Amino acid sequence: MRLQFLTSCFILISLGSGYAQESDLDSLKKVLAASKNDTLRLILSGTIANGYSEVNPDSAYRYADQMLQVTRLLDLRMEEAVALGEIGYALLNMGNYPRSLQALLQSISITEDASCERNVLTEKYPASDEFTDRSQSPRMQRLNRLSRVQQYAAILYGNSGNYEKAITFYRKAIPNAEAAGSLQILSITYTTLGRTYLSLNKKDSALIYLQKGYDYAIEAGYKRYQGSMLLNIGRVYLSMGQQELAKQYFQRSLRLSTDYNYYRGVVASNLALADLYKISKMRDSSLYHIKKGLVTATYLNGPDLLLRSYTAMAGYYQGINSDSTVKYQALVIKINNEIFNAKQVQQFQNIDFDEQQRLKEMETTEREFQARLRTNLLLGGIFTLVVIAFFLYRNNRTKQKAKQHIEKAYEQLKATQSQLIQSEKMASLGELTAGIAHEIQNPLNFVNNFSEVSTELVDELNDSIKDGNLQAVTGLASDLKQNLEKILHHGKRADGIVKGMLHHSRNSSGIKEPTDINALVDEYLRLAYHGLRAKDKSFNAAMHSDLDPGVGKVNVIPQDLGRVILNLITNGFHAVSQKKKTSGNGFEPSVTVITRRTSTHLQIIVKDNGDGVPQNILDKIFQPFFTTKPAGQGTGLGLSMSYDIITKVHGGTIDVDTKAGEGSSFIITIPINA
Amino acid sequence: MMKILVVDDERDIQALFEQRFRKEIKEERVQLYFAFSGEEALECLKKMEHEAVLILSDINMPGMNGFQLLEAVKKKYLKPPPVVMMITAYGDSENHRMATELGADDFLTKPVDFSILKEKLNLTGA
Repeated sequence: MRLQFLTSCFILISLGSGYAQESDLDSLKKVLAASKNDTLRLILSGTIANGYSEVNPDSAYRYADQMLQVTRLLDLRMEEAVALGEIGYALLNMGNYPRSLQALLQSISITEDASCERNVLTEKYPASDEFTDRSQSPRMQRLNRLSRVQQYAAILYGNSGNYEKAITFYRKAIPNAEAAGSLQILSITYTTLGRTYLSLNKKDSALIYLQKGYDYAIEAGYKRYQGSMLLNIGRVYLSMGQQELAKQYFQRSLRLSTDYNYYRGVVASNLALADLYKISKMRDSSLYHIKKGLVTATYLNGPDLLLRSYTAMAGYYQGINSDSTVKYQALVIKINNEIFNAKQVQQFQNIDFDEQQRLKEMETTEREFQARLRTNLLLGGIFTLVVIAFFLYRNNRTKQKAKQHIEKAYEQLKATQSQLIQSEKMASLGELTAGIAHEIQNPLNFVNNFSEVSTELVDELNDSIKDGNLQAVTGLASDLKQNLEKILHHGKRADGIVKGMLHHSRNSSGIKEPTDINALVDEYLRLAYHGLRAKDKSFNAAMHSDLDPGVGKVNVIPQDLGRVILNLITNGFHAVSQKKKTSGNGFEPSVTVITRRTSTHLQIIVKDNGDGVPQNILDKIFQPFFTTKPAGQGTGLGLSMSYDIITKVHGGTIDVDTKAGEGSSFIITIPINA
Repeated sequence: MMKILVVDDERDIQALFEQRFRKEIKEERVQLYFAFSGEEALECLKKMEHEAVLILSDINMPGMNGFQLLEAVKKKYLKPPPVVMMITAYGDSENHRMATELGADDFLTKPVDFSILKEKLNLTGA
């Protein structure tokens, strides 16, 4: 029921908006009186105000004011601006310029602020005037309103003779109307702007803008003010002396304004024709149109229109009928006084001044805003920099941490490496242990037994001395001496083994010392041999040595060089024993160690008759952890360590000469310093 | 008279044994033979065929080692094979086990305690 009521109301409203007839307005007023729905009341009062706006400014004002109250009740800021615009326009047409300015400036103030976009009426509500399109975005609606009210303000300033200010408002209104896409408002704005230029007697500009306004009106199919546009174009032509052309425009203007119920246009067209006829000395026609204009102006009760009509009347009677002249001049003065009396002018100027102040304040606010914006941007920039700095710092920290990690890992790696070197030494020591046990037990066997037997021999010697058996004494003494020599020999032998073992197991002194190379080679050859024999009972290989007696002592680090020799010999024995496993009985495994000395270099060659080093791994054998032995049996560090000892520690070279199936020779060359 | 073949690659073993058994040798209770490798020991045994022989052998020797010699002796001299006593390094249980498997009759540990050896040979106090 309620919905039906609303719907019928909206149909009425849509009838009412645009070219409202009095009868339509009366129907709407009845609905309004019965309506309790605020939104409906808002739209109805707005529609009625708009309908009256150029017909009955007093009524327009009254209904616009009603609308204003409702908009404030509903907190609809955009609609409040519309109401204030209607009020301002009504007051403008009522000749109350100060209050008109006040209302219009308030309306502008609201629509300049985007916050009014927050609460707008939805599309389901009909428009209260022909400029409203609720399907537009709130922003577009706002710009539409703003441009319209700015145009009203421009008219107001134009009417009050401040053309400069009027043009300023037109210039503001045009881009807003363009942004809102309102061809209607553009049409009206260009028209009134053209009229302003005409008032300034800038005919060319006037003609251009008027034509532009007319073109927009045609494009938009907007007919209401087309008459007014033609009227003003006619006025330009008239001012150019083209009376006939002007007359055609005036006549068309009168027709169109009448057709589209634009009564102000009707008045203006009649007065224009009257003026034209006056110039053409067609006095009757002139009077006819003045009277027609006056009738409509009286109906509209528009002070400006009445003023113009009375002025025309006074002009007409001047020199013909002084009474009538005086009568109309008096009316002119009366209206002029109403509109432009000192109080009104003062009020207007005050409001204008206030507006100037407001604009200044706005400028100040704008400047402050800009300053704040700059400050905020600066702060934002600083914040961003701080954030970037923080991230850089964190990044740096992470890098530092990573660096620390890497350094730590590197330290651990170095520690592990030295541990590995140690374990490589221990591994080769392990290989030696059995050999050493064997080697040491043999001399011990002799030392113990020769000592023990010597004790017995001494007893026998004593007995023989007692018996006076000199021959026996001599024989026993000879045996004793021989035994003691053997004890000494084997004691030294054991000592050598122990020293060799300690040499090998303890960390290198790192100090070069004159070392008997042949003795070193011999010692390690034996250790390696027995070590392998102890480990692998089936192992059997000939070991040969070809030691140059002229080698003598050479400045080397004995532990290190011994380690290299041991390693190469062990590898050699390993190679031949591998070959022994695969080849038949005809193969005689052998490992030979050769020493040579030239004037500048010492050479140690470890030669085996194994299978040789395959070509494809030849370039890898000195790399750390490279091993051909089964997993767990070789550390893969032996040759790598040997390489480092010879090249880095002794400044020499280590080369390999290998032939597949025939064996390998590892050749160590060390320069002899001094 | 007991014939003992001593096999060791250490040449001084001869002087040591001759001194240690000088009484037994003088009393002609023991006759010592020496071989300095496994191969030499086998050659020696050939000459000493059918004579009762005690072999005292070292294990680690170049060429034919003690085990190979033991194996060869036990195969060649089936009835009755010579008594073979192996001389091992101290605590070398692996060698001990392997020698037992190959038929070693007894063991001596280096350094050799000759009083124990003589006990084993029933030469003490005789």
